[in-house]
Amino acid sequence: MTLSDADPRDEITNHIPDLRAFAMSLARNHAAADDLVQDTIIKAWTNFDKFALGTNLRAWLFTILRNTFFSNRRKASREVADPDGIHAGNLSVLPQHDGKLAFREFLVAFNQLSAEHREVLILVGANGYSYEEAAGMMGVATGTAKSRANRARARLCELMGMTGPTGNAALADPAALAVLSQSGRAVA
Amino acid sequence: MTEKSKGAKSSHLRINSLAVTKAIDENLKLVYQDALKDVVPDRFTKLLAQLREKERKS
Repeated sequence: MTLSDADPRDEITNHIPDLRAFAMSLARNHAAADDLVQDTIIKAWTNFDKFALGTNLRAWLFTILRNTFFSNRRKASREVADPDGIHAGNLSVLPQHDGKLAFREFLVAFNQLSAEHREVLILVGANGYSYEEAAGMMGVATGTAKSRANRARARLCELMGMTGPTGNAALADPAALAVLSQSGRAVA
Repeated sequence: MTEKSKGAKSSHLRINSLAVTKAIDENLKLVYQDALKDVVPDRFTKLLAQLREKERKS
């Protein structure tokens, strides 16, 4: 290795904003998220020989981060494993009367999901990873990732008051869909 | 995204029609982009410098 050879580990720096965003979605508070990112960086740095050069570094870092998060949680066992968010969300967010759901309310609903649901949605929905890729990071079968994502979306709809008491989707109602699509940005 | 809602038996699957999935994903992207905007604290650049330094010494 010559002096001019860049250390591939320097690349880690470029992924810190994404690591923090992913950590925030799991840990839900800045202090815990940043501790998670710090642990991830140290582990990645010291185990870099296990990274297959030329493959996706961000996916590798994400895997370390989520493994750290879930194993810390197991150790602490303060939070019961709750893949379907049964315990997490009793507080229901209902659309306002004008039919608009603020982005803030989407965020409230999202944060009521279980960590497993938040994880799969952030990987697939926000980052655009395929179910195969997400499954690889989560250490589950592709089918599991897919059904978990489906349940997570359903739960999200439920938390936003988009399902009736019988569990029937309000989807037949176009207004309900409009509510959801307006929660992000204003539809002019 | 290839979300198939054909043959849906449960309400859960019905909810996951393409349109809803798309709307949810848009919001998820906003959640994520929001977090991405945060300025990276010094502690991480310092940490990487420390790791580099430690290795050079050993």
